[in-house]
Amino acid sequence: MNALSSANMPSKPGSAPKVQAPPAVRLVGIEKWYGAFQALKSVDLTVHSGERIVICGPSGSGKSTLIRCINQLESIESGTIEVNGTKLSSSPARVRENRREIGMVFQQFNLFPHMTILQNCVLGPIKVRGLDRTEAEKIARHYLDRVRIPEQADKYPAQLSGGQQQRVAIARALCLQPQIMLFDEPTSALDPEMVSEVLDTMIDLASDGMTMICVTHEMGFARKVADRVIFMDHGEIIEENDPVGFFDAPRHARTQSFLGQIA
Amino acid sequence: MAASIWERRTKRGEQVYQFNFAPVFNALDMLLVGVWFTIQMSVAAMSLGLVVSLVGAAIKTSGPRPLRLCVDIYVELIRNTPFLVQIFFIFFGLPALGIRLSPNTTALLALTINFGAYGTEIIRAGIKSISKGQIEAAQAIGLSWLQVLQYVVIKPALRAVYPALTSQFIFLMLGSSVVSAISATDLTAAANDLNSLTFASFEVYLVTTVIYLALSILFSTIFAGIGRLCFAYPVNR
Ligand SMILES: Nc1ncnc2c1ncn2[C@@H]1O[C@H](COP(=O)(O)OP(=O)(O)OP(=O)(O)O)[C@@H](O)[C@H]1O
Ligand SMILES: [Mg+2]
Repeated sequence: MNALSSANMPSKPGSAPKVQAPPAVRLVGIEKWYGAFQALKSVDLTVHSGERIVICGPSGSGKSTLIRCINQLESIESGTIEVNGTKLSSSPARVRENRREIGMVFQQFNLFPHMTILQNCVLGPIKVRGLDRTEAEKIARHYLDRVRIPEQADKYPAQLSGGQQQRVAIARALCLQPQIMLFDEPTSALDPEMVSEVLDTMIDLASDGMTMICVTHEMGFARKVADRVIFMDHGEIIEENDPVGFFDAPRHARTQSFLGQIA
Repeated sequence: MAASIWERRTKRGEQVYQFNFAPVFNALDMLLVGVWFTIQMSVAAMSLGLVVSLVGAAIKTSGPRPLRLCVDIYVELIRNTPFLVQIFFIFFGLPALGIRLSPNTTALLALTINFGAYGTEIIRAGIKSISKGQIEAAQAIGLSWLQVLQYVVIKPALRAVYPALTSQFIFLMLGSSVVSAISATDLTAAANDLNSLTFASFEVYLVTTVIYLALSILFSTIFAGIGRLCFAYPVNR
């Protein structure tokens, strides 16, 4: 009943995930083609509830494509995707149901320019969850508070800095009270001095037990927060490991050269 | 009386036209009736045409293929034929199919259909200018196709093409004078009537021209105000 209490399991960043059925996300044999180009090659990945996954890899390796399949912004040619134990279907109503449980944060923020910060945040709760405006605004203000910009509620996106806009985008996604959050390079479009405020927000979210799948090259964030780091190249998962093992003892040559490049 | 209007003076064999606005101003109420009708008809056709344009643009952007084809045919047909012929077709052609419309109804219908075709293209361009990221963000929230259009796409799209849309509105208002050809009761028709009563062609059409100019300025001012009210949000870059 209490709209503000999300069903989170408190756990510390870096702690082992509590394995429990069903997994938050299960990808089996995912194949994705753009015309004649294969963007994902038989990808398998299971993400448990409360787990924090960081995905990295060179440009064009299929990281965005992979997480966009989870909230069905991309269709797949073969394989199965389960979210919270439910196999995804392509019927429009089921797609919307799935998206309601998954928050997504984009590299370019994608706030709606014609709506104030508050209006951005209440749109989903009102139109998708069917809440009344008062309830929706209560939730919105709660999450704006959490991302530490409550005082900007009545401004328009263009009046905010990049870092602030991205934090609003995180709040907007949280307002639907999703069980899973997807981040697609959330700090890549930011000026360097604004990266940390967004990462801090994400760390805060992680410490709350949110299931998170983050495409990012912020290795400090990965070390601090990730339960597992996944390295992709040419549409395949090449290597996955806990952060310590991944960064300090990468097994594959491609991982080693990639880490060498971004270090 | 008519003599005073047609009073001519011969000076070194030249005929000089004697301006006389009195009969025009005496019959100004005739013109004003036409003005009022032109305003009503234009506003109605703009509103209905805007609805047609929004639906047409929505279909052209993301509707099913057969419907998209229908809209394409409609837009191309209207944009590649003369407006006057479209009016004649509705007024003189359709009765052959048993559809008989009054001049004023025909005028409204023709203007709406005509504006709808141009408006569809204008608004479609506006929708195309919206970034894929905006639409994906809206989808990711769980909005349906129609909700994405309604809440996220339409307003920025209209803002992007608002100048083009308003000049198309002005075109519609001015172009509505063509409906006088089927004796609708608009401003131009009123001017024609007054002209045949007074024979003061120069004065009648000068005053009519000034009235159309005033209407254009009035509509432009109103549209600018609406634009400031509706699209007041700031944008980057
Ligand atoms: N809509 C599309 N049409 C055709 N090819 C596409 C499309 N989207 C992505 N691709 C291709 O699929 C591959 C994977 O793209 P993806 O965006 O998933 O890469 P990425 O790992 O996220 O890269 P980046 O780090 O640059 O964001 C790339 O080679 C890209 O060119
Ligand atoms: Mg990407």
